[in-house]
Amino acid sequence: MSAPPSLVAPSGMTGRDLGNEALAGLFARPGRMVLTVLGTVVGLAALVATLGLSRTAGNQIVGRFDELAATEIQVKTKLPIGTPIPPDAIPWDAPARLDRLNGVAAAGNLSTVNVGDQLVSTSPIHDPQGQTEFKLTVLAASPGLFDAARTTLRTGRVFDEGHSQRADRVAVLGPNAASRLGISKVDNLPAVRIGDQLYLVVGILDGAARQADLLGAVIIPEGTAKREFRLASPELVEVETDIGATTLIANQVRDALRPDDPNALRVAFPPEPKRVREAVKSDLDVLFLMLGGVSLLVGAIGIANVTLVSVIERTGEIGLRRALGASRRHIAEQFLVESGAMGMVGGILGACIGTLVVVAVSAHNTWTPVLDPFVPLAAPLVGAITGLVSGTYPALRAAFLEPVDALRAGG
Amino acid sequence: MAEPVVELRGLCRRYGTSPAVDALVDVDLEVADGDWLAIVGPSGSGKSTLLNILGCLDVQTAGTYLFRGIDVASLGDRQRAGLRCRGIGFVFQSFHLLEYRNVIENVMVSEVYRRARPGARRRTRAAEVLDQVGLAHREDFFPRTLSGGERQRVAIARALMGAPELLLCDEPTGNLDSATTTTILDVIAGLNDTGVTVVMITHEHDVAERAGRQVHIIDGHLTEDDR
Repeated sequence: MSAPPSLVAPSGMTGRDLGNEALAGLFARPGRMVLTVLGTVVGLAALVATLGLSRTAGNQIVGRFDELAATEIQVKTKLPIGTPIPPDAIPWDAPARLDRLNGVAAAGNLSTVNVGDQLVSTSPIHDPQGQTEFKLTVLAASPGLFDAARTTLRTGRVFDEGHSQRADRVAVLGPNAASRLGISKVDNLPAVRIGDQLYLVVGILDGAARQADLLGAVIIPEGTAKREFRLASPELVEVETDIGATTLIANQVRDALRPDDPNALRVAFPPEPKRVREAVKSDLDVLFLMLGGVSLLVGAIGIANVTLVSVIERTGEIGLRRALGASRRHIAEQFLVESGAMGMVGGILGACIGTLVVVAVSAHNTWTPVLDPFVPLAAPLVGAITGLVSGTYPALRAAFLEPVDALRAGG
Repeated sequence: MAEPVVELRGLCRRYGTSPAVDALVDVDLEVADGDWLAIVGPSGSGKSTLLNILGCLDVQTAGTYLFRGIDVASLGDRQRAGLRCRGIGFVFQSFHLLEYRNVIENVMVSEVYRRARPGARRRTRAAEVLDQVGLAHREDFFPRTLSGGERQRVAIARALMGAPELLLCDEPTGNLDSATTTTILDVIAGLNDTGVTVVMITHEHDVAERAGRQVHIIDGHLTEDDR
């Protein structure tokens, strides 16, 4: 055989030629390419935005947890729950002592008042048509408790040191208690009855970041509770510290309150809501990932569909390329590069748009935008893989077209 | 003595099984260097099937096809693709130009699978072959702006790009008027004069008359013209 061996050497294609041919094929129908890429852009923008928003929203929630958890200390006695607290187990002036410590932002006593069987009502008149008397929790608080528990007021004011020292019969209502008692404002000087005694309502709370019991309770000054209900000692001290000062204050608080017997007190860091945080993050991630995944799937189906249509439309071109020396692999490679490139471009644009959405939504809500840098960087890769996967079937279909049939169909 | 470019012995091509259709029956043919062979026959006679086998786009069901002494049936897909891109140039009746590429890019596309002449050298070669077919002034035009004859000359230039051992023309003037037909045949004749081996199929006897040699094909049987 005298034929030159190079004559039957397999045909080849440089990477540059492959790229050029694929790009030329893509830009042959720019309008269609734009629409096809749009599918991936939407999918990946949704994916990046949802991942970013999930992280941002999660960060807001977790941040709120952290902020509360990192600045709260509770001081209680070591007595078992339900045991009567002996006099002076916790000093009445605990808030004043703690306020002197550097790092304490606010401190206040809180105690549950044993009112026996006495009910709370707004009117001495018995109304057979409706309930007028309620079994409500009565709490005694020092004035600093409202700041330490981060309460917010809906209306009126909270009582002060003077009320407590004079043992005035005044009360602040938690929002749920106010709602049950039918009191919504204090400008008409409403009063509630605890047993037979009238208490002037001076304020209604709107919320409390700590001590959720406050929401459903009637809160009276602890001086009043001492006189009227013989409250022996504060039950706990709620302390709000500066951020980062919790450990320092926790180490000092026993000596400040009970220098005679520091070990009589238990200083509690409220348990970090780790499980809640993880659950919130996990739920958000799953929800948003599902949404992004569905969007991406729609984009992938779009690429597959358009690539398939493109293969059918370019049957003649496939036949020509086979005649010019393209092997099945070259044909498959070209269509795969085209679909992969569409996916990658969609990924790049989608990452940009998704990131902008995260920033815009965060700016609108005055949140801190949080986005894992890996997400926008990986988006072009995810787009390219999506394009490659969705282009596989059309590419194989193109590759396995018989050249004679392809030329005939394209003629 | 040099091997013939093409040598067919007892070549058969059968399609389907029930009923089987014999498109080519026991075809013997030899094409030597510098030949211009016209395969003449009516529609459905098997001439396109023969051209497809000669172009390694299809494979015979029996017999032997030697291209420069190489048994084509023994080659795999990639080797046949290699043989097509290095040894054979195609000119089709319907031109098969890429509408989204300009004239010179259409010519250069045939180099893609040869890994040959990168960059400027490829463009220089394309300009040469375009000049050879008289289209140097149309380099940057797109196919839709060209006449039928010009399109076919672009296709011829594309086929010539790799200096093929064999130029296969499938009804090259089938879509052209008589004046343009003459122009295209003049171009092919000029190429043949420079030593290019040409095999052309046609059903037009006037066109076949321009070839140096004719064979007739009817119902898959090939007969040599004795003129």
